[in-house]
Amino acid sequence: MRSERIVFVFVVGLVGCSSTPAASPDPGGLPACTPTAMLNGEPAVWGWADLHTHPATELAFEQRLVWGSGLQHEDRIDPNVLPAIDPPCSVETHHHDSGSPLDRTAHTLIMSLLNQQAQYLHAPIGTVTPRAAHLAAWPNGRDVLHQQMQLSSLRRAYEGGQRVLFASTTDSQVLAQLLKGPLYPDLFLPVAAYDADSAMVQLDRIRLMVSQQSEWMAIAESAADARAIIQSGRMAVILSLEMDSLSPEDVMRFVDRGVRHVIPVHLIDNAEGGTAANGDIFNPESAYMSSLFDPTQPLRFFEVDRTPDVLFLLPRPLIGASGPGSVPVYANLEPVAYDWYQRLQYDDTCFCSLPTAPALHAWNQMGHANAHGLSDAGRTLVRDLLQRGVMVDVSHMGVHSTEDALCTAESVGRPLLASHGGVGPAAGPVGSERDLSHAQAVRLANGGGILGLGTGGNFAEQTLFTQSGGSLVTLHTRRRSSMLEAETCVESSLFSSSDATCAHPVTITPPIAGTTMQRIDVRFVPGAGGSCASNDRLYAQITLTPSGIPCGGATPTIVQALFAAQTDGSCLASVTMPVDLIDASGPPMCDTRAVSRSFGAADVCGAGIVMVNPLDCSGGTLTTTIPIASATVSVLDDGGRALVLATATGSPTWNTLGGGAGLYGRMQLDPLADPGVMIGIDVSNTGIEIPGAGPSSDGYDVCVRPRACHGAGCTCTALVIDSGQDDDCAPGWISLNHRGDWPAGSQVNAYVHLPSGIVAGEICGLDMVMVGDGPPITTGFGVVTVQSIHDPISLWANEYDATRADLFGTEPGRIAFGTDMNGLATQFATTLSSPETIDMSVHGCATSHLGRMTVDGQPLRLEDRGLGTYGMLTDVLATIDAHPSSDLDAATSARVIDSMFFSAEQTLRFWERVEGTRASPPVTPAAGCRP
Amino acid sequence: MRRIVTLVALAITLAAPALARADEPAPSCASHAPDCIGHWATMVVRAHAGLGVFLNGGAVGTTIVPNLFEHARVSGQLGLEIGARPFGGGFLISLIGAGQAADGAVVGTFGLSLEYDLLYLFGMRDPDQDFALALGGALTMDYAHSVTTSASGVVFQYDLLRPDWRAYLELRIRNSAREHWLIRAQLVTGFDDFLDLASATLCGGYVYDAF
Repeated sequence: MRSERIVFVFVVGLVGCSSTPAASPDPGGLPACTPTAMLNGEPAVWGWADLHTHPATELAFEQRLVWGSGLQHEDRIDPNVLPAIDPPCSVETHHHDSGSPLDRTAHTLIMSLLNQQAQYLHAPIGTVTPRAAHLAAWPNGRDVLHQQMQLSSLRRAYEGGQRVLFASTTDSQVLAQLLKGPLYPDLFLPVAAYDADSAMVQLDRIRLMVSQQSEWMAIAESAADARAIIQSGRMAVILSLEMDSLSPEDVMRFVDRGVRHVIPVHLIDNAEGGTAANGDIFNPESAYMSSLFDPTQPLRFFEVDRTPDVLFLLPRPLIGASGPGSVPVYANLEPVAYDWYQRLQYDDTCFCSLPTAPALHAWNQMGHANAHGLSDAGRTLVRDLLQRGVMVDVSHMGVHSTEDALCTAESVGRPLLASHGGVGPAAGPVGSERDLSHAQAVRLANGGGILGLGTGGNFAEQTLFTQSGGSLVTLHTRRRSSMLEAETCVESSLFSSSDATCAHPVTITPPIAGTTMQRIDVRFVPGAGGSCASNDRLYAQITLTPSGIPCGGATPTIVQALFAAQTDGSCLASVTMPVDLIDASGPPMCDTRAVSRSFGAADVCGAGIVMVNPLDCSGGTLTTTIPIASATVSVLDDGGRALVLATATGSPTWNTLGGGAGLYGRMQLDPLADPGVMIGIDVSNTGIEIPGAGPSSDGYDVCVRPRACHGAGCTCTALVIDSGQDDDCAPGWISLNHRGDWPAGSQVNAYVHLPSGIVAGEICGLDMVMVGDGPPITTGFGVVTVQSIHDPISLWANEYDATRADLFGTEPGRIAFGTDMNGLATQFATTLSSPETIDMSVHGCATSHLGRMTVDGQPLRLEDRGLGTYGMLTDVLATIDAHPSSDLDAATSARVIDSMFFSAEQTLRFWERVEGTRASPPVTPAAGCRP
Repeated sequence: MRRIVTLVALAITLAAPALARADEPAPSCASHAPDCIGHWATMVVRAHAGLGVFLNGGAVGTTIVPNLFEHARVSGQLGLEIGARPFGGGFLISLIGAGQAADGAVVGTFGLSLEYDLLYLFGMRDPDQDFALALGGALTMDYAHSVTTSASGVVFQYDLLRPDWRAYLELRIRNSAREHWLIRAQLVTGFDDFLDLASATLCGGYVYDAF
């Protein structure tokens, strides 16, 4: 019994109230409908499936992280009305019983970090902020800290055709501990029973939600159950586990209690196997948990293989801060000591211990894959689950674990699923282990498996102009009442006009495409006290990707060149074409087999400066700091002209290994020819933090306004854009933070729909101003990026269609949603436009007639808020059906809708194959499978 | 809130001066003679040493009873407190310093505590009696240092400096034959939840009542 509950029961006894939420009246089920379409010659149930959600996530993390409840107390569950969060959350705690200042401080620190991960700032709620302002910030597709699956939202998804819902549990002991504050004398100690206890509580909540709405949803414990539930017009809910540290015995106990879907490996290496080594924050979590599985192996970080099949590189791991000079008052994470990092062999920063660093060093990038596959216990668990008819999920497994799971499944002739994630390209490496490699996806598909495609979305963004390093832009507070003109304007040098109204113009040079080059130069001028002569491990690092391929979209080649002191006092590093590259088929570094390759200016994806302190190679202490007064990246083209790609002024400094200054990012296309109609604005503050609203202040806003140069002889003038949001920026300006706290170093962004007739390539600048009525503050911004972006929902539909065709040919339905809703995963952030009403008819059955969902009378539009609440998945499908973007053609749209409305049926058929009541495709374990 | 105020008022009312022993002459309190100081503040110095069970209260899941002992570590205990009883009654205000040492870890605690002898509620108002049951709270600054050898063989040292507040329940048994010696058993709660047990200790101690 938790102590909180003891107190609660005591209080209830005093006041005579019931602790059980009042059941909302069940709105009843919809009439059952048999679709007219057949699937592979057999009748099919109607509707779509989501293979991964977390309806009760507010009960995880010791109830300290996600605010709000899926349960509702309204008289009626209305699919068009989202109840406001009640009670409103306190921005810094998200904990009902938090009275301790220590508790509040720990929450403030950790939640701020999570907000920064999501690039979405938590707006103050329930203080002086007007209700409208809080509703402007919530719900939002990038918000990960509030419940997004209220019953009315689930109801909307149901009325929009959802018939299968995987309802999963999740948690993280380490995150929960950080929210509670540090333990002592150790920061954290894993608890064996925690995950089972947390999963039990969440499953009980899911059962309660379903039982209160039994007219339209029910829990299915077999495929036959699910089929009967759907055929009666209801939605089948499948209980699921996605926990870090359940033992096989725990898992089987939950199976006895109705769980039918298991993700054996989540964010950490556990007793069952190795996880996908894809996130720097999961590495310390895995280390802090390792002693639970093997007491002789405390603080064990991921052990990795270097492989050309994966791009992602784990950075130097973090761990609880320690040592003289860094004693934390609260939990604080910092990189591990260098000798520890060296022992992990993540990177050969010291260049293979060569006596002197090479003048030019280049290699094809090799990424990290978790070296561990499934343990014997993990393989046994997979086999036992499959033989009991429980669906086993390879999502979150590393490459080797996935391989072992596939081998095990093939040996028993049952299929697997990957409920949420993506699939790597047919040729070339996968971005990280978190996505299935193409080869493994093919095996999973051939074995009768299904996939859930994540809805985080991407933008296929193209940079219009960007610059980072130092404090590029400085903003001083203006009074809200006087917010009429920009304080600082960031302008692209492609456009010659300048704006007299801009007090502090900053010019950024965009990349130049289509230029062949002989040499790349990176030059910097040291600031006071700095020198390059005494630092023989100071490198320019240049990232090259073949022209025509988006930066980050294929294996980049990274070349490094040593800086040398020049007679004028500057430091110069040059890379001359062609460069010698290490053959990717050989060992990762220091192989003498080399190939030569030339690159053009358009291939330059990025350039920066990296310092490797020579002392590091012997495990010394990092002490050097290099100030930079100015820096330039330029190329020498075939005609002998030096083309400046980027310049930066200011004082970017660094003093940690691998730290550096990014100077340049590539724009791939000619901006004037780009047809995009949305832009993304991405800025990061480097100065003091910007406080949000609080009990005694209305907080501060950073407002931006793009400028465009339209037509012949144009001038770069500000665009007046109605953001559609109720915020504190003046009309025509866009708020970046909804008055949330903005800690120093936060990176936030906004998505802007350009007025009709304006294309992204005409964007020539960005006005910025900071407003507030509190004491004046000044802060600097070190990253300013403006990109053209594409409609993420259209891109998702294209990816869905291409993946379906690639893996399943003409067979529809074997890819469903894998939203990971409420799983600390960001969702679609925006779209070009979405329908006002929903009336879809697919396979002879129809969705309900739905209007816009509203909260407190305000309409929730995908364009403004993205996929902020679960019911708007219905709007996502309606948006695909309407295919409003030129990125999505009608035929693709029709195929995606057709396929999605078969996904419930395909999920049932998959489950039947797992249960053995439907034949699986004959497969034999692949060569190389362990016996 | 009214209930809390009432309880506090009741406790103060009951924290009456210690009863004089029947065989002692009643002190004259017409002056500030030393005999009378006991009626204002009885000074106490206590030192103790012993063993405890370090339960790591505050860890996630440790409020679930079966998990309470999962990481329990036997620790050595040292402590010193210098306090005063206002009005010679059931309250004791102390400056405290304490240390615990367990396998690879030490914790030092320094702060201010306020405790109340629950026996006063039942009319047992002799501070020198052989038995005491005290409920207290402390506001402290804690310093912890631990050493762990990681799976990679790297010795990792973790230091933490943290303000803390806690509640405790303490049982003291005094030996009548050796009036300065006592045994004390203490249950200490975790910092973020007063019902979250952090440690249990059993110590032998020496107490010196200055007045």
